[in-house]
Amino acid sequence: MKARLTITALVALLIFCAGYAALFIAPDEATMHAIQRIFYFHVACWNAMFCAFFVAFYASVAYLVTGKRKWDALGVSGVEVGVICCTIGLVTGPLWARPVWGIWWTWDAKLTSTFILWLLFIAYLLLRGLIEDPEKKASLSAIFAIFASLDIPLVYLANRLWRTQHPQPVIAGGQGSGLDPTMSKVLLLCLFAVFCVMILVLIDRYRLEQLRNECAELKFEIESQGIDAFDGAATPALQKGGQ
Amino acid sequence: MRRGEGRCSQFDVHASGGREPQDFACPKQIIVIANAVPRFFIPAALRRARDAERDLLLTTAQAAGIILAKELRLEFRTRELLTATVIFALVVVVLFSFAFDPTAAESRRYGPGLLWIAFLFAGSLMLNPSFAREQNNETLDALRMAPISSFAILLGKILANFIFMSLAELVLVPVFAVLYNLSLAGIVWRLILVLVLGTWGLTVTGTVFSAVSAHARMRELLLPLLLLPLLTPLLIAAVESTSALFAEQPALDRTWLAFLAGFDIVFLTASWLLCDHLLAE
Amino acid sequence: MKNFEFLFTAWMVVWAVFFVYEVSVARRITQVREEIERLKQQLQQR
Repeated sequence: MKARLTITALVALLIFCAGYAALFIAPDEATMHAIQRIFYFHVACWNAMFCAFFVAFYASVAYLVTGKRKWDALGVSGVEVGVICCTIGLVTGPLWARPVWGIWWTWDAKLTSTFILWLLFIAYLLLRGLIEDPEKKASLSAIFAIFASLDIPLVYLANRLWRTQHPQPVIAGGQGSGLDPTMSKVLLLCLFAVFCVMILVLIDRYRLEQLRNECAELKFEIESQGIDAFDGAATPALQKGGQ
Repeated sequence: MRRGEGRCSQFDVHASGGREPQDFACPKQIIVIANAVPRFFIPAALRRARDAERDLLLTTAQAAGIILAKELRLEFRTRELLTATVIFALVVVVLFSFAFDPTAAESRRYGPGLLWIAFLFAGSLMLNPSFAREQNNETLDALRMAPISSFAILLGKILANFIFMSLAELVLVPVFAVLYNLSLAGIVWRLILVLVLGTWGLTVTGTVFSAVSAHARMRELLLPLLLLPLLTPLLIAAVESTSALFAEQPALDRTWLAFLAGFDIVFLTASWLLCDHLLAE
Repeated sequence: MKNFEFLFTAWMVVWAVFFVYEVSVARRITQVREEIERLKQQLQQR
């Protein structure tokens, strides 16, 4: 418990430092000025998202190989946190784009691919919600996560091939090839900060899933022993030899 | 089953469970060869594979063929799925024509996209019953109990869906060409190649996700939801290849064809690796 | 600062989303913990 509090405090401090650095220490960018500061957290979110989805992929494979429920718990946590990071990225992107380019959205390669990624993993969460049997839920969603993860590079590749064939107005959402050294230091700091936040949230979600599994097991044990779960008293008819 | 019999009938299951290798009528030639080669000539892995194969009544190819025959027989009794698919795709094509009034240049530009979207939509509806109807009388359990590999079951269904989809496309593509005034002259074989590659990717992933969504509620809505985002690379590649064929100078776009082939290989391999978990209890 | 509203909104989005998610997960954890305690007690009673 204490370790958890200290870690949370450290991460909070880290966030504060990163925020301060992004807002005040990082130099003002030439063309976009203040709004460019979103970039630090925008990119950090994408990074965190890819890490979370990688964790989910690894956990899905591990679940199918070992069959242990904890991997399934890690898988769903990874996907949920990844979807959260993706949502943040997809929202901050337009918020950056609007003042700079005058448009909220464009169908360039990266944005399209990321949107599809978001849809894919939302579909994962929906799939989980629609299957009742816990073992089926775990194995089928692991299979879907593996398919989706295999699809990610194909999606990015296809969109890039496609968009370079049909050139779009130059929008590429990055800086020029060289980053000012202060900027890259601040970027690293923000990357690390958001990554730590993502890990914290991931661990919490994993714990929630583990607790839920424990709860389900307890319920199952109670049911199989014939106790009426609602009023807590064993009904006489059920007591004789269980169900 | 006696040794040396060439064919196994459809659902012969050894009730006793105790199986002797010589009871199996897997292709005679394989047994003869495997028995003839002295043990120490066969590397350990191949030996294991040979022994594992002996635990199955049929090879994967034979079993898949039998399941394919079953699916085809089932469908051609009523042909309802095929007809519904074709009509639905036609409806989609007609609806698109209301969205814009295509001139000849526009048809060439948007046509392939419409065609493939119609196929994707029709496909994601058609692929649903593939595993969904196995749920009704729990016939999937019966299939699983047969001594065949689970990849055989999956492959049989994939092949059946591929054939259905191809038949639907065979009807739709000429109709589409007529409705949008696109000429198919001189590009037929190349178009067939593109259609085959694209349809194969669609049916492999669609059949797998049909198996996935068969266990879920709202499966008619879930299958398109799972399938369509995954198939976006396939859609892009297929549309680009088809556009290249319908262009002024028809040409096969090698990049996109290679991409399609890669997509197919990746997902077929993934299905093969995961098929046991997919069809598990 | 030019475009301050956009910067501020984006900033808030990043941290608000993480924060709200974390809070909802924490709340659900306490709920499930209580449920587990209750079930354990039932099991012991029997």
